[in-house]
Amino acid sequence: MKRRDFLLGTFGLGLLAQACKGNHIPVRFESQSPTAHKLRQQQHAAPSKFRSCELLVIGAGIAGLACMRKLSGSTKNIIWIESEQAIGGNSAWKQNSIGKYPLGAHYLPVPDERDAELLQFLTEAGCITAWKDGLPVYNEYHLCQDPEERLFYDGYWQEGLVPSFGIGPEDASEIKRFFEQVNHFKQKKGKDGKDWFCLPIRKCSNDEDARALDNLSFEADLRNRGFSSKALFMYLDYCCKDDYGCRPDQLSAWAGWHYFAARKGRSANASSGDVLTWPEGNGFLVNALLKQCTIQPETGVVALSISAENKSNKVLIWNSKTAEYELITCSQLVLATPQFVNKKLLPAHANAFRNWDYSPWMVANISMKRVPETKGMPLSWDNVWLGKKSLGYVNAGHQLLNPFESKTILSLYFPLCGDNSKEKRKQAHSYSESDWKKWIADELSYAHPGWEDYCSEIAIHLWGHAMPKPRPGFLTDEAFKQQELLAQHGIVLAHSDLSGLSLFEEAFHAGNEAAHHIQQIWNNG
Amino acid sequence: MDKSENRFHLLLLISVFVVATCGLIYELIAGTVASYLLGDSVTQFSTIIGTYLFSMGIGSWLSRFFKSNLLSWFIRIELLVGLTGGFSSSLLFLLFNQVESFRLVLYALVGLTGVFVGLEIPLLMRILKDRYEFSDLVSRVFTFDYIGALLASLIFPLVLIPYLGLLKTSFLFGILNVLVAWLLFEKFKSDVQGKRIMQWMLIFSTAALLGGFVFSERIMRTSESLAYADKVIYAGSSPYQRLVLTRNNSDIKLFLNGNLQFSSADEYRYHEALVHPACTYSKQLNRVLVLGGGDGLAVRELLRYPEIKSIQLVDLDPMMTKLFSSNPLLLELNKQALKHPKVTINNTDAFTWLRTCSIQFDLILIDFPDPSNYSIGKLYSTTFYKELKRCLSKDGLAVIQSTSPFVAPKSFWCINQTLNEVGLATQPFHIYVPSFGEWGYVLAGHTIGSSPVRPIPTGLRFYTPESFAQMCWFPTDMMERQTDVNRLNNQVLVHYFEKEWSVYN
Repeated sequence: MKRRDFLLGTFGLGLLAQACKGNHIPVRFESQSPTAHKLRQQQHAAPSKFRSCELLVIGAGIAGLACMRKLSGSTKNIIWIESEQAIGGNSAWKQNSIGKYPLGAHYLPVPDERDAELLQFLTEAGCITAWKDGLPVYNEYHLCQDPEERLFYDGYWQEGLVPSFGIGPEDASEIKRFFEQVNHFKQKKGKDGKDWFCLPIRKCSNDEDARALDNLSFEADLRNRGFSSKALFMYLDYCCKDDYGCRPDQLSAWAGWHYFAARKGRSANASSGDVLTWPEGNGFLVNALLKQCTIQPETGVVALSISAENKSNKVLIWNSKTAEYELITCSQLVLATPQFVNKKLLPAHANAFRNWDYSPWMVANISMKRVPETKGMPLSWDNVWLGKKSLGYVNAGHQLLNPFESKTILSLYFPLCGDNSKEKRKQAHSYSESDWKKWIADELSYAHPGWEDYCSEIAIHLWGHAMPKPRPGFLTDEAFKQQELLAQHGIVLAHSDLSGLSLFEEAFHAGNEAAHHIQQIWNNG
Repeated sequence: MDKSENRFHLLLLISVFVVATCGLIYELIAGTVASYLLGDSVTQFSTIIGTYLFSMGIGSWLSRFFKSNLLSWFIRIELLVGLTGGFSSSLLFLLFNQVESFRLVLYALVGLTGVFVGLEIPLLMRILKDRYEFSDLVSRVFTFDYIGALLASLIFPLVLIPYLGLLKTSFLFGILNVLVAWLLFEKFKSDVQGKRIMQWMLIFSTAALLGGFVFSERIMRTSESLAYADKVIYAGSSPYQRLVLTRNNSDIKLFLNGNLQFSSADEYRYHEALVHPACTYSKQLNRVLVLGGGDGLAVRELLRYPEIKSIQLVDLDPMMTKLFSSNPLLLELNKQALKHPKVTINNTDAFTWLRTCSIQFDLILIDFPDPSNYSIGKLYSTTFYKELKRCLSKDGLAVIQSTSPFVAPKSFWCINQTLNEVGLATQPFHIYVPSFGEWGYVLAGHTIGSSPVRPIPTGLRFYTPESFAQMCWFPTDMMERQTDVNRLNNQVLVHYFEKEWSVYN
């Protein structure tokens, strides 16, 4: 071997090693239940089993869970089905050898202290331990621990999510003015005495001035108000994607301001804006809700079609465990399912359901032996970067109190916010494990070069319809009136996307209201 | 022989002399670095010398494969010796706390230097073999070789180490090796193949070694060992921390991640103050819990009370408790406390342990590291102290080491106020520990009695009941100040601590 060959050889090997970096990391898709695509099938076999009940609840996401919690102890004959193997919908969670991790929703902001129903549930769930001076005291194990948030900006992790280093004085003054506007909106009440912005949104003021914000995009409204700072817009771009899966130019200005101005919960031991979080994310709340339900859901059971008849609704279902079709006849029916599913179940009543544009998301849970750090703030709960494809990651192990454990799971959040969600959805489903790995590597290497050496596994979860996009005009709800008709058949809807905001609070109240409606029928009937 | 031949011989023999000196110096450096970093100098020197000589043997054997261009090869090897030898000590210091198997690096480096040095003399003898009578040649070469060795062994301890230090010495001798190569190169340019490349190699090596010599201070500063003024007698890394023991005469010091944990010269002050006020004020002393304190020094003090029935020690790091139950020097220091039948050791995280603990203790000693980061800050939070309160018997007392009220008064009083916040009565106090400075503790309990309920044990060197009142008095510069309460969701203590200590440092 000549020396030149040898040198070339070693150089080539070096390149190869660089190219193969991270090849050892196993990537897998989280198992999806076989039921999801059954719904799309046009032809179904005739049912081989028949059941009847007084109430059928379809869906065990937060809305379905909240509804069933409220109905617990009822002596009525109730059947509850969920198409997935795991319950919780967007709040589902999983566990591996390192620990628990969320598949989607991962926190709940300290709620408005006027929200008695939610506070009641949180007390039962052990999240509120006492009351002091008329304010709830939150369980310290559930309040997000410090350091809460850090932002990777200009090669350096800074504290908090709002850029404070590396920005000009004009940026800083615009950011200050933006938050002054937020504070103004937080306090603002309408002529009807209601808050402009609060949760759930059906409690918000109907003031024309407030509603006018729904006529234009968040970006347009911000420009109208004289905002132009690049740093501010980068930050807001992050916020809009984080909460709504879309960009500020796609988002209703009302929804944009709502994100900032609706969170004003007070507490004796936390400030507004503080959040409750757990290693399994909102999976903790899922378990707490389920614990209070006296009936358990039948999982892996998907509803395929509904024929709505007054007090005798017939629902065709398919059970993935027994591979059998079944017909359930029920007098009352709660659809704790998203609107796009409802449309498929009840095509004859399609105009009773909102026509949302749903953004797809990918959530990757990355098991790390250790997180190789870069300069600045240490590993926090929410670790964010701006101007990248993903939003950054949440450290699932943050709330654990083993200070010297270096192993953890990072949940990387990756919204696919194109203008054509359908196309994006198709694209997302066409990506292979290695395609996703490349995307993920691009993101993580940005702030954590060399992360591959410490990564032991990547688990990918795709959400085809993660959340509706509250585009301008989303507050105008034409479908609402049509739902009256369904109610006459004994069909009630319960889902966060009735409001357009994919939030725990919306889902929880939608479930409670559906339960309340059913109870009223029973009491009167 | 003509004049130029004579000069040639002289030059080569000077080379032998320099080469021999350098060779021995590298060996001595490796042995010194190893015993400095790893302790136990007899073992280190003996294994280093063994490895070095064996590798020289390998080098000598390898010399047979060099068939032609012996002079060029000799120059190249001089360069290699100069570079490996010159950088060896810097590399060892820098890699000491970076690599997992330091010994492997050490012996590989010693081996490599040995192989190169082993090549030198055989090659030189073959270069000279046609110009001398064999007996004359052997006699001359080995004479210079051994003279060089003597010189090296004398100047190394007497001149080099005291005046230049380890790093500069290795760079200096690396430069000498390269100078030999320069000299030979300049003298016999015509015989050397690949002049251009060789010239660049010489320039590069000289520049690298000179650079190393100039910046050796900086290299030393970045390496860990400068932090220790005394001789390192033990160093090890656990998954949680780096443990380093140093010794200077009878003074043993323990460093965790470079921070001084105790000095055997005055640790009795620290540990007596940690243990005896709490013990003498505690009505019951049946069950005692120690969180942290894997060195067994607090347990040693506890064992002076025969009324204590059981001591539960919870320390995260098994390496720490193992070291302090096996090393003879440390066993002497803690009086074999960790091996006492009353003592149960649990190597687990204190927060998790306390959270799941279902029994109550009469006395809880908390000897955690200072709250210098968010992970440790959690162990000083309201949440932790609520668990502490729950595990404290009705008349039970706890004592918490609470950093320096002089350097970090806000941090100190924040710990006190955080304990108050969860409903514990507190009595802060402080003492002077020469190796730490002013140091603070907080005594806490559901209630704290106004006077001691039992006498102090005999044999104490520092603490007396009378001195406690004085410890509880805080002069103006350490007086109580208002702070926020340290909670998991604000971690104010870490911020206070960072701010106060950074000013001090």
